[in-house]
Amino acid sequence: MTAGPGHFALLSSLVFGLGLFGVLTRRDAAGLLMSMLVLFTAPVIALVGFAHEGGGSAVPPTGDALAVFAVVAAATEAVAGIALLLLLWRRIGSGDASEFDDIAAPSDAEA
Amino acid sequence: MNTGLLIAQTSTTTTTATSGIELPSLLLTLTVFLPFIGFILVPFFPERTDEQRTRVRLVALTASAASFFIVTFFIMLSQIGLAEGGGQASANEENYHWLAFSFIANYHLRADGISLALLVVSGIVFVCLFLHAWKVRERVRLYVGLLLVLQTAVNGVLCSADFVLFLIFWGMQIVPVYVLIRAYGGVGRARAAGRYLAMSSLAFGLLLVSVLLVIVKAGQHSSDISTDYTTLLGPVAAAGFWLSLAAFTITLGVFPVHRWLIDVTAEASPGVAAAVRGVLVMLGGYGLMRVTLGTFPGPSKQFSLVLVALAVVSAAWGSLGALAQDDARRFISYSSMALLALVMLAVGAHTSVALQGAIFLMAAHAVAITMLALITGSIEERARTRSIRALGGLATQTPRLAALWMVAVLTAIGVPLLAGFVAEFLVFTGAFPTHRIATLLALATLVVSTSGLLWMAHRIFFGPLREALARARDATALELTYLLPLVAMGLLFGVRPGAVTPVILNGVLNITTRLSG
Amino acid sequence: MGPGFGYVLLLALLPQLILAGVALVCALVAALRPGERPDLFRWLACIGLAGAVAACGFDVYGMRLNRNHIALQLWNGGLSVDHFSLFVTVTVCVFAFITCLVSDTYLRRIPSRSGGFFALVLLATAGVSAVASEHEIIALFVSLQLVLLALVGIAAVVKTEEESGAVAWRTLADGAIASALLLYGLAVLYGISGSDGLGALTAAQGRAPALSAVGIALVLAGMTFFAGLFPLRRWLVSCVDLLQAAPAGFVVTMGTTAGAVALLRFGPGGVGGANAVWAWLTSVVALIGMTHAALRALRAVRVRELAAAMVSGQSALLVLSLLASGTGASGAAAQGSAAFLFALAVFGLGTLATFATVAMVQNAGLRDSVAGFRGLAHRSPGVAVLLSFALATLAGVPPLGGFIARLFIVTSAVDAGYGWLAVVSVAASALAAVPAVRLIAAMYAEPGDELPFTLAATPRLGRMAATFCCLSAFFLTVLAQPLLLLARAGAGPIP
Repeated sequence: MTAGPGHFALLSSLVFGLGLFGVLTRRDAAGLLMSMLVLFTAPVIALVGFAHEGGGSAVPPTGDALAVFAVVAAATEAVAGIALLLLLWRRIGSGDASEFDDIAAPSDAEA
Repeated sequence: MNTGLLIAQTSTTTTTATSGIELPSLLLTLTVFLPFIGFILVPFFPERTDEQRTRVRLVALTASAASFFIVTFFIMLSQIGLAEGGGQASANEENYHWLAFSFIANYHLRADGISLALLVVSGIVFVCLFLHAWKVRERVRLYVGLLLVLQTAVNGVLCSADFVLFLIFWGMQIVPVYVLIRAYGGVGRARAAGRYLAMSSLAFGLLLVSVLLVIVKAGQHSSDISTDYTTLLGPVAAAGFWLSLAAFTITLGVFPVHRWLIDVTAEASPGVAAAVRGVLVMLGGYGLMRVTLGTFPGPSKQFSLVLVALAVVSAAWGSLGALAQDDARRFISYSSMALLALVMLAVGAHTSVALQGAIFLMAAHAVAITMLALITGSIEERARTRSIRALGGLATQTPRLAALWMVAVLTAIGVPLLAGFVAEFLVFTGAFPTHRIATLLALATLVVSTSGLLWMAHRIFFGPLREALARARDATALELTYLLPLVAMGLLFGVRPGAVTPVILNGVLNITTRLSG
Repeated sequence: MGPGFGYVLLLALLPQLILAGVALVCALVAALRPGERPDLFRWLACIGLAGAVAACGFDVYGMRLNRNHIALQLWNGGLSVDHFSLFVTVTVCVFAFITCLVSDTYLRRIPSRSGGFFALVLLATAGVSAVASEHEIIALFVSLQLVLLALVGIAAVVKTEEESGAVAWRTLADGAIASALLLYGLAVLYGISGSDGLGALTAAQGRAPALSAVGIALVLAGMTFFAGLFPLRRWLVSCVDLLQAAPAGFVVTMGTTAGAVALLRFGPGGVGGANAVWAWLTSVVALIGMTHAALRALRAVRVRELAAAMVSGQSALLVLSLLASGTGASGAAAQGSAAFLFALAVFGLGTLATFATVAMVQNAGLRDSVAGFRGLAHRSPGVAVLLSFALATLAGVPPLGGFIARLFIVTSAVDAGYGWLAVVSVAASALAAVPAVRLIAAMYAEPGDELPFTLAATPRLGRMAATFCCLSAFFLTVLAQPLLLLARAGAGPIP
């Protein structure tokens, strides 16, 4: 049995669901970052799978190209995220994303 | 066509061009924008000392008076001359390309008889308000600056012959009036200002939707007010009619949307109350004629009974409501509501006689209510109260104020030789043939409100003098300066109505021909 | 490919290349000579922006020589430099130029980072102009990522307080999630149509209608982040609230501009404005966005909170204008795209004007709660006048430019048959205008503290730029036609 586009779609949607679950539930920043990378993996799988649909070479496999760019973007965002995480870790002494959110959330105290 | 440049159209008729050279007429532009130039200049004058404040007031007064001067002496008098000469008076018109979107919006100003009469009246009211500004001692720049914007907006609305311009000028009044109410006024000013903001935004929104519906759905690709919009489908025209009716009803302060106007008149400072009660509501009546009747003639005829019913209920509500008031300003406000209901009646009757009467009525009402609001302010200064019960016998102490008050009341209730008489006579004779019962009912309420106003005058000025008022001063020179021009205007309209009637008729015919055609 | 592919490539990408090049120079100089004055970077950035605008002029000339006279196309039309992208490029260059002028005080506080700041400003500008040129999914995704990273960078560079780090984190986290959603949606659409061009989707939609709806929905969900609309608008609120006013203005203006432009390229320019699924989903996004923004504006207790809500509302109006790109009731074009471009410029100027004047208040050391603005007119009449103009144009109060822009959008929406959405937008605009008008009145009507207001805390250049922004709001009404003509030319290539 060969893997068709349907299999890729199934796999990618599973990974997407996993990533979405992680993004919604993780409170620690590192875990959140990892979940985001998982979330990014799902479309990459789908793109690569769809690019070789039918195994044809008639159309240029632009899906592959987009997948490469997506991986690069995900990596860049991961680097930026880790840099910010380290910075906040040093300033606040915590890696809890909800604490960052508390700081970034506008306070209603001063009215 | 849409080069984006301002190109004068050749159809413009200039009424003042006596020489051979045809210059583009800028009279209407000047009428509208001279106050605005004053508004731009005012912030550059300091206001620390008394002389500096006087200079600020002078600048504002000059700008306002120049606008009034132009509209009265250059435009109105020449129109009267043309009309008396028997010729068909042509409207003043300025038309330049402005915007070309999916529809074409031009910088199109036009003043026909209706606009001209109202322009003259609002002009004199504003001049008197700027004279009254000598009584305002704090934040003079802000006060006169915002009033100048308001005058620009009012003149702009009256002159606009393009819906986009109309909307822009209409919307321009909201912020200045709101700030004026909130900055200068009594204890309840914030609440009254909030109500004003809510109601005027609502009215503006309704008007905007109505107008856009018309512009887009008529398929004429033009936003000119004089465009023939009878191509509109029935439901669209009806929707536009109802939306515009709601918007102008709010502005006119007719039952059931009168509360905001009562509050504003009661809580704002006398000058602002006079501007809102005297001039702004006039725009509601103007809009009813120009937009509701002029653009939606079909639905206007179909639903005229609604207008008339609203008018009768409103007249009754106003004249009876006034009797229950102890606050002098609220009393005036309710009486003014009863008077303005007659404008609605005239619009509902849509005969040219009634509409002419409505114009006269708005003029008389503006003059009378401005005087009453300003004199109430003077009485408040002296008596430190506006409760009618706490007042009494002022006529012995302040005979001049009492006399002016009586003139204003008589102007409002329609005594011969004053503007109100012509107005009410025309409205009732115009409305009677089509809506007999309603006219009779309105006449009955008028009797009530007339006796109410007289009773109020009696309670304030006659009877035994109260102890607290024993040292009240009579009208000062300043007060006479800003009240007498209003008396003169009331007399002019009352004694020589025949001079302006042909001019007004020319304007009214533009609308009634659409209604019959 | 033709004989001069390299030449066309160079010409078409010249504005972006200049911007990126100058950004690189800024970054290099900042790295090599840390002690350099901020002024140097500012003037470098301004020269770069001027160069980019000049390059747009070359592109216009280049288009004349081109075969189809419409656009310079690269990579099979994947990137097409047409009048639309040039309009957007020039507009964002003007935005960046104003930001360069008003961000002076902010830079004095952190002179060591000014090189990085200006490099990121230029990079974000190049990114938005690239978003405007893209025509297929790869370019769309890559240019949006560039914008996201540049904006996160700007938020992070303002490291004067710990808040900015947290703001950058929140922007990055939400942005990454949004990008993933966007990418997944694009992947689904790619899988259905088998092509990276967006135009092929409508033809292939019949094969998998449900799946393509999912794809479009995912793309739209991701785009709401960039446009600053509900539900992914947290970043906009925290940027507006916690960053310094001048960079905050730039970040939200660029972010919402990029989002709106990308939506236009994806919708009317890509899948087609007539696509039923797209139209339905977009109208839902616009409806929720407008209502939500209006309610937030009504509940705002701080000036910046109000500004954030109003920026969000503007963005929703831009989305509404996307729906009106087809033909109108009378058979002629509804001109939604022209309204879009006109409003894009006017809204951006209004936003920048607001933040520039808020920055002046902030420089003078005032709190930004509405209470802090009470009686501002007594302490500094000039700033109060400027802020009134800025807020009024942001709120769409006539006779300022914001009103004309809204008028165009609402007209074209009615024309295109979205009358009910137009009514909602009028109501939402009126609701959102109420708190703005109340704030203006509070500045004038209420007595204020007698604390001195130091206008001199803002440099003259910044004051002049802020004044220019506020005055432009007025002149955009009187002289609306020239900008409208440009917008109509810019909307030409959009079907």
